[in-house]
Amino acid sequence: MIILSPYSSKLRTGATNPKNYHHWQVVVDVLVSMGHPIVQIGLFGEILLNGAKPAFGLSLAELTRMVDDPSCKTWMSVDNFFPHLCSHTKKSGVVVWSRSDPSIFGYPQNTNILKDRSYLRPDQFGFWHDCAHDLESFVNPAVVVNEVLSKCN
Amino acid sequence: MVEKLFFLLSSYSMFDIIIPTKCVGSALEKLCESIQANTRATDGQLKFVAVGPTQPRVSWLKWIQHNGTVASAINKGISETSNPYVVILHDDALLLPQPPSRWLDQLKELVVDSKIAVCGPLQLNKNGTDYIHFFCAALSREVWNKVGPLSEDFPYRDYEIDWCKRAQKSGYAIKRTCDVKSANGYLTGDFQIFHKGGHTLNAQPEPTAIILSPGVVFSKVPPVRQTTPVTAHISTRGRYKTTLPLAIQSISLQSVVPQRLIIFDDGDGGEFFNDSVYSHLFNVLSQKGCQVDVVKGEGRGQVLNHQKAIDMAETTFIWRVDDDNSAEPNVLQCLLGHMDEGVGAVAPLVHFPWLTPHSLDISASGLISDVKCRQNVQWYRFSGIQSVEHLHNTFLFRKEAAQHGYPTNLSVVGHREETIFSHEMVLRGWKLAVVGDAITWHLRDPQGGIRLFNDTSLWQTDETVFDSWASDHGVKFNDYWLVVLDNGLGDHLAFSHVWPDIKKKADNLGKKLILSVCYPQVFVNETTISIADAIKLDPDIGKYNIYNFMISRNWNKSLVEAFRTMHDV
Repeated sequence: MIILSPYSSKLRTGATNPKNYHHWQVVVDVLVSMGHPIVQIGLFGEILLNGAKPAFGLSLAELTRMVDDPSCKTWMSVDNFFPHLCSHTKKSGVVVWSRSDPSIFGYPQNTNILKDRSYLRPDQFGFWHDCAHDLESFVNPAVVVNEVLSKCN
Repeated sequence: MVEKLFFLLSSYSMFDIIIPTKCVGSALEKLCESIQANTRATDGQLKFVAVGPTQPRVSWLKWIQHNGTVASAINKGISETSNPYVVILHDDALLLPQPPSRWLDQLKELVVDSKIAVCGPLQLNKNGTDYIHFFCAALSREVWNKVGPLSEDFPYRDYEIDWCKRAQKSGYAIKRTCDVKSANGYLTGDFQIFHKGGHTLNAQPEPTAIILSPGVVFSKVPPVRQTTPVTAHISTRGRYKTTLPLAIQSISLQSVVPQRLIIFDDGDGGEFFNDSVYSHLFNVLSQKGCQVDVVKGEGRGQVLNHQKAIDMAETTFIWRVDDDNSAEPNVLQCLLGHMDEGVGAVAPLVHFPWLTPHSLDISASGLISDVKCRQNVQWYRFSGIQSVEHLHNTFLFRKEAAQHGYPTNLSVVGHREETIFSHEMVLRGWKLAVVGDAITWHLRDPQGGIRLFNDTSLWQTDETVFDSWASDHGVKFNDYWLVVLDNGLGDHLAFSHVWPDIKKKADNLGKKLILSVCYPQVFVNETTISIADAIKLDPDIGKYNIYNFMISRNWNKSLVEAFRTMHDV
């Protein structure tokens, strides 16, 4: 089982969060086709990716137990709370970055996939609603799939 | 001027005032000054006669030269005067401030009764004989002539016992003017006189001057005394014309009135008995059965007066009220209602007229360890009872629980005095409580009280004394370390890597941590407060913002490292 935390928090402006990865469905499709069950965590009301099993509204303790469970081979997410939560576990995961700097907000034990530092926003501590969602800032889904599979093996 | 005064004095009624004196030192002159200040001109003839070996320096005194004992001097004085009534005054007595001639009126009221041989403020008993002390006594010349002069067998003392015994055997009564007690070197009660004692024509030298011990200078005794076992007291300075009358009025309007109010005048020199506002207030209190005593303070600050109140109070409970307090009418009744067994003191809420009090929250604490970093619960709004470890400003306490007394080593401003005093009760096993349903207004008048003192070093010195006291009593002050996580869930989770080390550091430093968060679920085993509560403790929460911290440092290391650096762990 692979845990997926696909979304960063919604912006008050209603705009797409610049940290949200738009290729998750492709990643899920590939991994499921290869026999890896995907459990999507998040909040009630969030869009469930096809092929993923929902596990919405779990508490932090429940999420931690799920990550720690031996059935969980790894986890994948964007830059949201989940890598911070998992940093308290012994299980590393794959984090897809775009405009935020993994050297500041990430954890070295994880596989932090950043396409290029040139996409990092200049003001790393500014408001996200001042930052545009840039499709070009993300890596190809194949990169993500490969890194996840390497964690599973 | 003096001659004119003597003329005025001489026109009073039908008394001869006999003063046995050696005229050494200034005692006689001080007595004469007090007579001038407290005697009015009326009709009739009044003679002041000094009897002794030396001519007095007071020109309006008639002098009868006599070199003998006290008893013989009194006999000589009475034999050489002729008014129908005689007042004997010792030269070490002192009339205290009072309405004009009140002392004479009080004596006259009784002595004109043909059944009474002698009257005076102090009635005592020795070996079964009731007698009036002749340091101040009024007697009828008619009775004197029937009973006879003082016996020379009692030259310096006890002569009045013998005379009163003979008078009573002859069928006359003796009577005290009012309920006066002699205590702590001064008289308390409704006759305004001070008596040093032991010096009049004594073989021992007289004192060079009467040293007027601070004592009761005015009393208003009610016809029927309240039975409420409470003595209220106010220490006042500089508020005679501002908030003091309000404080007294609030006491007079209580649903339960104390049986005694002691006002310590610590420097105003207020003539309470001549002031119509105070006269009305005291009359109301008197009507309600409350005795009012005004005590001349020493000008050495409120703490000394608070201690004197404990010494003077004869009731189970003592209610300390500030001279800029105004208690709601239910306060005393409420406080008494919560004086359960084991409770040493109970305080009301203390509110300020210009400020709407908050409900109890994180910023309030009744713990002694929080006294330096959180607000007193008495300043908040709540219903029911809060158990606390120290009290502030005004409260009701048991005399029994106050045996330790007030601290004596504070400055004249007495900073922290009530904190020390009330917590000492806790250290002795008494409970303290604040009653949320009783409110006393603290007017905090900018004039008077401790605000008369501008030297901030007084407060600093007292704070040092307070710290030393705390150290001696094992009181550790909480030094709060506020941590505010006004940020996202991920930030909370990142911070939680650092939290254990912060706790260790706080423990080592003796600081108490307060953790303010947006996501308490991250810290399920910790006590946390909301960001709103954190703002009450420190309105400037921006300085706790990790993003501000990182921005100001052009941070390029990890978020967790930023938290570590921010908290130096």
